Amino acid sequence: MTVCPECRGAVSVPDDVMAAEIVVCGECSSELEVVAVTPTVLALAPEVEEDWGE
Amino acid sequence: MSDGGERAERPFALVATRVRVEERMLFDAFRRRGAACEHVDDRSIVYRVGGPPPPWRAVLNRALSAIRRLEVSRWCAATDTPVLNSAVTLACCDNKIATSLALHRAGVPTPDTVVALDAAGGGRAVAEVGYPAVVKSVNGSWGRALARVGDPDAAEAVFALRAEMPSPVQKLGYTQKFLPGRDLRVLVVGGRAVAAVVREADHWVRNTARGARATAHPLGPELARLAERSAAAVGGGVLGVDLLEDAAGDLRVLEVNGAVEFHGLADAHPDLPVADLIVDHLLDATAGAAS
Ligand SMILES: Nc1ncnc2c1ncn2[C@@H]1O[C@H](COP(=O)(O)OP(=O)(O)OP(=O)(O)O)[C@@H](O)[C@H]1O
Ligand SMILES: [Mg+2]
Ligand SMILES: [Zn+2]
Repeated sequence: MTVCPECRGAVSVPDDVMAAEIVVCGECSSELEVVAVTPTVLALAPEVEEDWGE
Repeated sequence: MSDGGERAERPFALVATRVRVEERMLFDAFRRRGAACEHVDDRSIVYRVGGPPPPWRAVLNRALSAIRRLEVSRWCAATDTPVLNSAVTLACCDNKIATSLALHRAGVPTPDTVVALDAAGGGRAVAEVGYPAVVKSVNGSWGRALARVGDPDAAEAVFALRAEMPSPVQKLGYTQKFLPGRDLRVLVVGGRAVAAVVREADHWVRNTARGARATAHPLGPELARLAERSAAAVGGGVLGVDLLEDAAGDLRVLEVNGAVEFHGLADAHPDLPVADLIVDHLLDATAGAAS
């Protein structure tokens, strides 16, 4: 379990999670970016920018 | 600069802003081939012009920002590092005007498209394509900032808003005839069309990023050939060709995606090793560059 930076709720993260994956907080629905692994550190995912996409 | 022998010792890089389903599939494919591949966040790259080349054998560039992914491939090109997609391809795909001009030049059928270089000319552009028209962002993706315009009042409203947007790119007018029909996507890898899906939604914008359902679609020779010609027209690589098919079966190419998302297509074709095909293409390109 890792702490949500937005609501301090507990976020469950898969064991094999990789940096730059996105997880969603079950308590506050924030999109969280995995910024580090072992230990997992979560940060609020940045908003989609104008030039993001395929 | 370092020679090919030394480069062969280096890992591959998958440059990605986010590790999504596609990137996970690609990492697994590298692993299956015994090819070491590291994840590089494009936002973390800092390099000196004329300094050491990228420390990777070759690069699969899947940065989410069109501006940054062009810079990644530009750096690779300048240092003779094999990269997919190339800077030439990305520059063409990440600008809908450039894509339309390249497709037209290659004789690929597209919807009627009229460009205005300022929002002030948007109304004229829409009137020229006729109603209903679609107004798009030149750098748009995921179905963002798309408007269907049914009359001159609607066109005026859309371009009044665009004129107020701070980004100069948003003031460009890219307008297109709205065409009814089915929405198809074909994945092209290294010059060869590999699979197609049809995308369906309740809304006329049928991007899987907006919840459209993708199901397998037969890849007939005509569809395959047109997708391959479209891919070649934008410079080739790993590409998602979006097309509309009308009731008579006539095909028109909407755009070519240079940082293609393929989870919908992979789900629709569970037996097709999509990620492996992409990784093999990179390995082939790398072997070719080394010889
Ligand atoms: N001229 C048109 N006529 C009818 N439908 C259209 C037209 N242009 C776009 N659409 C619909 O809107 C969708 C998105 O359009 P398009 O592919 O041009 O934009 P996009 O936002 O760049 O998408 P992508 O995520 O593939 O980059 C198409 O897949 C299609 O369903
Ligand atoms: Mg599209
Ligand atoms: Zn939370």
